Amino acid sequence: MVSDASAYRDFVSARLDGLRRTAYLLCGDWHTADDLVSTALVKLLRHWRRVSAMEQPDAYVRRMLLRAWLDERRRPWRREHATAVLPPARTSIVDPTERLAVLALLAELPPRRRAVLVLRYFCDLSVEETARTLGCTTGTVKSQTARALQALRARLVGVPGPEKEA
Amino acid sequence: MMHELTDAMRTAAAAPPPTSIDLDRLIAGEQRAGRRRRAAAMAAAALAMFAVAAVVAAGPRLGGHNPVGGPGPSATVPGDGKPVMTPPALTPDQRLRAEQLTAVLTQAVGSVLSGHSGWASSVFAFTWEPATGWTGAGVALPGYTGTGLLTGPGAHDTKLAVLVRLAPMPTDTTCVKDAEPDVECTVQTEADGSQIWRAESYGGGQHVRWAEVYRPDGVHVLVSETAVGGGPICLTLDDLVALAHTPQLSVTG
Repeated sequence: MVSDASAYRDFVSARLDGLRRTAYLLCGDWHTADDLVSTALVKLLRHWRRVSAMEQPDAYVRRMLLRAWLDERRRPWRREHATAVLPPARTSIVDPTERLAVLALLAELPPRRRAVLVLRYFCDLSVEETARTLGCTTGTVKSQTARALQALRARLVGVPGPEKEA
Repeated sequence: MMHELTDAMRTAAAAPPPTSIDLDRLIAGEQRAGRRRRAAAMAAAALAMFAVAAVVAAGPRLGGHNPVGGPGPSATVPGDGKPVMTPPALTPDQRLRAEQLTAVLTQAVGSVLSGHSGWASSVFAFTWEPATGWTGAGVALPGYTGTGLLTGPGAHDTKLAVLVRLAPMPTDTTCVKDAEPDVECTVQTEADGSQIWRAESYGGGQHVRWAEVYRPDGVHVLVSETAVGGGPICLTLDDLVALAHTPQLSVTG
């Protein structure tokens, strides 16, 4: 059990940053992102013995993260949590306008299309890997990607500033 | 546009604030939850064993009050005033079929176990139940249930349970995995129309594998193996399917 916990800690420590960023792009909020990652990590720990024997444990964790997010989307009343301590202020070394523009564009997409874009263009997954993670066919991934990009292009046409950057 | 999108996402997710995730706290919390789940499972198992023991202990005492050949269980009140359920008495045909099924299963398990060195089977016994524990569409169906033990290297035991009954083929083939994340499940329809369900569950810290075959002739056979005390499971899902496919496992001889 101790070696299990140690291996789990090593695995998670190496991937925590990437998981948080992926979650942030999905939900658009760092605190919700931490909640989603925590949910996925608890499930990962519960099944660690089995997952650690898998060929691609990363794919499993991504799938857990996605399910946690889709689950949260279905239960809006579970998103709000009372806290006794104020959260730390955001660091903003990047241009907040650009950050908000990308997040706003992503937020307008339906959850699955948004997930397809994040998995394909942020996590750098192939069409097949994305399909496995989302539990759908490669055809669905391709069509969702095309529609999501089309929607982004349509939005960018009316917004000259971000169009140059995007 | 794809490269620009990738860059834009990386920029948007750059410089995250310090995380609130504390791995030590998360691990300690899950270990506590695991202990609670195990304790609850042990309490439930102990309660079930107590109930079975009570029925077995009451059986000989109440035998005289239970009409031989009666098809269903009966509740009686012994001297201490507490009602006790007695198992149903089997008709001669049911008893004969239960013995036949026991022989069939013992042979089939022996054949499957030949591929697993160090494992042996013991204590197989079938009985007939007017309402099997597995209910389809809210209906408890009668059938034969059999249980046995598989013992492997290091004296690890697993529990093997078999259900044989007549049941309609499910029309909804949606696996429960969508509703329950701890269960992995697949459904497959064979060329002869048989429906095969394969499932594996790690829920509540307990490892269970099971396979179900719904045959076109209306027979439903379920075979499950449950790890005991965190030990390994012997049979693969294909082994369980092979057992469930045993043609002699049927409600009639």
